[in-house]
Amino acid sequence: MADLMSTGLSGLLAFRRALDTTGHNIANANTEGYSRQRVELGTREASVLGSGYIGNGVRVQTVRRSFDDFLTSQTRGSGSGMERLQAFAAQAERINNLFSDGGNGLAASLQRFTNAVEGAASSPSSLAARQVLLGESRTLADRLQYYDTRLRDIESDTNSRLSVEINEVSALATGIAQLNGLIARGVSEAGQQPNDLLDKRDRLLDQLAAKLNVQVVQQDGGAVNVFVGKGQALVLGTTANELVPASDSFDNGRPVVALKNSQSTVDVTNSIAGGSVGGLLEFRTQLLDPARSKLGRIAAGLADAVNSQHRAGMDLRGAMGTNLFSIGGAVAQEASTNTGNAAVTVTRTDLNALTGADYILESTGISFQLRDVATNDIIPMTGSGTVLDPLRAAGIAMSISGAMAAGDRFAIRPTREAVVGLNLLIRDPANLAIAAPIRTQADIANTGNGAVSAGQVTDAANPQLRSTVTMQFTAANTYSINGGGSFAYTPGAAITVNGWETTISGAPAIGDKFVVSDNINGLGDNRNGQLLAEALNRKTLGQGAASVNSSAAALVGEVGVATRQAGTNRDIQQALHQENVRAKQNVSGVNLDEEAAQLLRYQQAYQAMTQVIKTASAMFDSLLSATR
Amino acid sequence: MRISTFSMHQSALDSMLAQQASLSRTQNQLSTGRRLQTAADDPAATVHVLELERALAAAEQHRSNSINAKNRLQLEEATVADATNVLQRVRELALQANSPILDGSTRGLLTAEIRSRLDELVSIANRQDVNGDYLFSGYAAGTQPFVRPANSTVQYLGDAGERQQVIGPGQRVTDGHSGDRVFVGVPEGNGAFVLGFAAGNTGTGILGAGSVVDRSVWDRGSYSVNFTGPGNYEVRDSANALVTSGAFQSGSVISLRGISFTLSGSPAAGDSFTVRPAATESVFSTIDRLVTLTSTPTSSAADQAKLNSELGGVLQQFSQGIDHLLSVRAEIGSRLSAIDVADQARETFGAENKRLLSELQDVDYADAVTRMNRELLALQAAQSSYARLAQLSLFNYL
Repeated sequence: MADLMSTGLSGLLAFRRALDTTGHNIANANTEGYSRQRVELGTREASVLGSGYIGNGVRVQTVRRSFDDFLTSQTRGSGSGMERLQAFAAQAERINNLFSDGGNGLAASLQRFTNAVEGAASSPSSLAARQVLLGESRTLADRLQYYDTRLRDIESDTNSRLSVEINEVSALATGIAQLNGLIARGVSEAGQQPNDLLDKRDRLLDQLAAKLNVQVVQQDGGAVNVFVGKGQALVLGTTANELVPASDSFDNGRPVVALKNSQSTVDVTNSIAGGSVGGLLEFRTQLLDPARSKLGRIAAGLADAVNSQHRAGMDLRGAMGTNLFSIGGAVAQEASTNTGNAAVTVTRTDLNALTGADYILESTGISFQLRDVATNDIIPMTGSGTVLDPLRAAGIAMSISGAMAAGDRFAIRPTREAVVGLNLLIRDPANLAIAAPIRTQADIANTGNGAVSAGQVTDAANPQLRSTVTMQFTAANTYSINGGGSFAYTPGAAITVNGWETTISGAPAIGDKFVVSDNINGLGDNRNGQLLAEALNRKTLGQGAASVNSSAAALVGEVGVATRQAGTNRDIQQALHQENVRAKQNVSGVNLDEEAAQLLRYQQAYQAMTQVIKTASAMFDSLLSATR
Repeated sequence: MRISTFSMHQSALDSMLAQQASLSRTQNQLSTGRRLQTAADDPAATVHVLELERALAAAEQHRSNSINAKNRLQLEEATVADATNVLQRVRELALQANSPILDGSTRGLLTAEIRSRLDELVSIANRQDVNGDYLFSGYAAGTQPFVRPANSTVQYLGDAGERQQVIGPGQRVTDGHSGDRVFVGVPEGNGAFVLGFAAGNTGTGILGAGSVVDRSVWDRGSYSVNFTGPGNYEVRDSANALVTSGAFQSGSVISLRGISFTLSGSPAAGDSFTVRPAATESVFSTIDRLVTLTSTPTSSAADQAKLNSELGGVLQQFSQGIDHLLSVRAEIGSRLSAIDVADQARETFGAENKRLLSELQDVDYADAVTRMNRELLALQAAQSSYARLAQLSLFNYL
């Protein structure tokens, strides 16, 4: 039965609820993840009278939050992408800053070394100039060590960040599972959506997406299931699985992402592509590992070029030069999952063919397969894997001892650990081999106009290198060597004997002698020093495409390009994400002016309802007074 | 369109933060003067900058190498000039010694001076540079190049090495000569052949200068000119085969195998003169020969003729020596001028590199200051508009 008092009361209650909700909105205007709520009003069931339906006032049907599923999932996705790029770019910038220290950078250190070699070659007998060269050699080795150490610092920092982030994922998953429980109960018990709990869970899902890419699947009854990687469940209703930092099978202490449930632990690292975890993983494999391996390749190239030239020279005491730098070797790291008893020995055989990449050697049970870690390409190999016939590819040789089971893997790192072993081996400036070990001389009694070139060493290891060799012309175009043989003379053609090479030009007369002999006491000679100064500019790397110097500049450029790209992508993604956040906010966010207007509106409605009750009361009073 | 209060504040804040970031970048560029702060700012330009800096650093080393080379060459030039002066003085002394009116004691005085000049020349040839390296010992910079064992001629102990200095990319200059090139390798005689007396000549034949008439016929062989009688001679080669023969008058020209020389005086029958291909002789040996000649007394006309002939040969050898040193000096001069050219090229190249470097990495102040003003204005506008917008609220009127 229609009743004005009751109608007024319903209005009072409804507008009271509306005012409460508006107040809640104003109070949470700055709460992150809060979606504004609206009271949905509806008429109460009308009373049927003979004259028609008489309304019975208003009632609150539900409190609904302003929420757009599409915008929310879009924002979640763009947030995940932004966090990935943010994590990548922030770490990349550290490497970029490391390599960008201009005047003291890698390229400058290499050039200072070259200059010091040329300085020593300019005054070969000066101990001071040699001391400068030793100092610059040490600085260069220290500089490379410094870069490698800093890269390893960045690696260990990246690793510990990864561990922290992975552990946070587990905490978020637990929170989501708990909220799933609360929401499901709220829905089933009250038959209404628990708006604030939903907001809270959405916020946790956003935070989770900021860590790694997830798929969220809505369930009947209010719960959501969360999957990571290739559909591995992280949250199923009210149960949360744990995401743990497991150890890489090749590097103990290098965390990979593993999903742990009651039955098993699954490595999901390769399927994680978004969020800060994805960004850090990507940074580690795409930029950090290659940067270390490329730095190692430069160091290996440096040591090889300098050492081989230095060994071809003669020091101040007349002894042949020895290695100037020591260098770390190639490394084969066994996977912890291997079941066979095989061990792999890997050596660098051809620096020119080294790519600076890292590989994984895997046994298929019948044969071996070499994959590039960064690109996953299969690299063709030759050889059978024995010591005498090692597997060869890309400038490395691998020999396998013991038996490799099918699926056994070894990480092959040709240059990654090279810098670690880089040290200066020579302490005494007199041991720097600036002179060449041989010298040539046209005999003073020669009557022809033949001239002999200064000569150079082609094989420093030849035991006869420094023996005296006399080439005497027996005819206008033939000569004998040490009194024996008859060799055709071509002016300007290379004559190679005992590990050295020289040329004779002009027209020597019969009987003319040219002597190649030990350059003993040749402390004013600088021929080997000059070759040493050219060593870093010789195209000894990248299949003859790059020198040590140009590789150093290229590394700085590569890191710069990667960092710039990451920064640009991050900025684009950030703008996109901000746009998504704004769009979502425009639907879900609180507008205070709007709420103020609502406040006024509901207040007025509330006041009007009190007038209705007052009228009802006045009606009742007048009825009472009429009967008094 | 509905805008949430949160996103209104947030977007104003975002834009102010972005403007502050670019303002800070511009400010950083202005305060450091560098457009490129890190490689990521412009990777291609950074690599280019690294290459330019490398070239500049290399040029700096080349400049110092070129100074070293220049110093050594200038020192060598002065040394060779000193040696030339000594040779010229000795040549004058030889001319004096050639005078037939000299008596024994005057000749003795001359001999004494020649000996002391020889010592002087040896010490000049043994000069060292600032590092204590011998200038003329080849690669063996620590070995004294010229030594004179007792009662023997000066010996060369260095080697034939000649050191080069890198003075530009792929450009080298030899920064000295080996001692045997400068002091030992003086061509003998007239540079083609040497005339000599056989021991025991009794006539007064005096050998004049010779020359190559026809290079295509001259076979660089050894010959002897034998006088079968006072007016007849024959020429035989090293296998004692007769080459030519003729009648002789004083001052007549003897020709054989593309060379010719004059012989004057009157050789006796049985006298013999030799022709052999020129080799080289050290300047020290030439002086030694002069000392031997001037200290040998002449008693007969034959002795006098021999002395005159041999002094003629020695004088010719001194001229050769002086010419040889002059040619060494000319070579030094051309190397010095090559260094000058390289220095100039390096300067030009360096200036161009520095200009490029500055273009690549230095900030354009006019541009940066303008940009900074623009950014400041934008930030101020954002701030003031935000401040006014934030004041607007319906609640103010409730």
